[in-house]
Amino acid sequence: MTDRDRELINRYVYEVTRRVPKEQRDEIELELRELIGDMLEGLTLDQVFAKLGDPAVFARKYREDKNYVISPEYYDNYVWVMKIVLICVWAGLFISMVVQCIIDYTNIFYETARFISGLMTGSVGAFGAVTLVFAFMERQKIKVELKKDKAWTPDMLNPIPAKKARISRGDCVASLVFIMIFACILIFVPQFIGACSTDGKEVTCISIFNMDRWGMILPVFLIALMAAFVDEIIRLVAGCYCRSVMLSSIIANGIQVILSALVLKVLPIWNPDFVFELELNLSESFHWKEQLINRWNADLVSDIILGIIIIASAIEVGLTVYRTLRYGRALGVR
Amino acid sequence: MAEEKDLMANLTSELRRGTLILSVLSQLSEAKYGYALVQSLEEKGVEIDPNTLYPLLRRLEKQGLLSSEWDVGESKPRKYYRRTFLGDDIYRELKAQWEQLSVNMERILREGSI
Repeated sequence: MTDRDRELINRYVYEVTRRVPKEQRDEIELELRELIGDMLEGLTLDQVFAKLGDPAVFARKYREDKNYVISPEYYDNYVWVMKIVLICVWAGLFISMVVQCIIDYTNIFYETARFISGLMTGSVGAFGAVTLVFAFMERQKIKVELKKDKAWTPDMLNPIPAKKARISRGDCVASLVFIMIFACILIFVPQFIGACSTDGKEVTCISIFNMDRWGMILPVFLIALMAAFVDEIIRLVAGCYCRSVMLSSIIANGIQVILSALVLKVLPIWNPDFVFELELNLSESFHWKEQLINRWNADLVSDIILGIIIIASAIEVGLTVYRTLRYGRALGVR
Repeated sequence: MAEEKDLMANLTSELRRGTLILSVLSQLSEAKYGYALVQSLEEKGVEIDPNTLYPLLRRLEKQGLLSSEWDVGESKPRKYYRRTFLGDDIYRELKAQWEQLSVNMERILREGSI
């Protein structure tokens, strides 16, 4: 055996052993050297390597770990949610582009380029987010299943959820679509939420939000939307009211109420010059301009919106808890 | 044509995969080292890639069906595997299953002959 052969064998052994768990490394190295030595008695080194194949594949067989992120059990729902999310992202981007182009058609080229780059980053981001959520659920579920190591019996068949306990897929999809569109608007065109007016040529928009501090406010919005998003996916996967849906609803709505309070009462969300800019830009013919300007009170608006959010969350949590206790079933218990 | 070949190769390897453990267990009533096992199986027409066999031997050992021992007496160290008592029991059971299976398969295939 030449030095070069010896070096190649060392390299092959190294390529396999660096990919296997530390505690098995030494023994696997010995095994490999034994195997290669035995094979060399009847074959050339090239033939041996051809027979052993890619060291990465060899190492994978030694590792015998799960080589998937999303298991077949979750795959159907994963693909389904992925489709919806991607369609929403694309639709949101498209709508925002169209709106931008209508408002300022001199910038069509720029908006189209932004749309295309948005498509790429948005798709990658959405793909990653959905995969992460499902991979997380996958890992959690595995822990739960490992704990209860019981054989399946027909007793474990849960009763078919009563009609009223079912969560319609359509509702979940509608909510998901709404969340995605809202997120797209907040990310891409927040300046258009407010008063828009046109003098025939140009559209002037006075955002109701504080655009100077938007970088600080947007993440809080997005976390709240993410909570709602995860909650909807859990509903979608569960398909009926049960304990996990109830818990997720309580947690998600709790997060949303806390973040809403944060955004509305602590962060400078409103455009401080809203009234001033309105006065400058709105035409006199706008007949309730006076009233709007005189009555605009940011604190009051905050309080009203916060009140609506708290009531809506309370109703949603209340309905979910009621339906779970009334019609639903605890997970895995008759 | 190439696709048909791929498909055939896939199906064949899937068919063989289930018989590997039984083949390996059958040969290990006496202690053998890995490559000797590859060769003895090959002589009997059962091909198994070393990169499948070695990890499989480790797994069967972990499951308690095989035990291993390093022999450092000879010129180079070798790891010898043999069936444990549990391995003997499992082998007997699997063998009976296989015999039943092959009887049933033969009958089924005779009925479905083209």
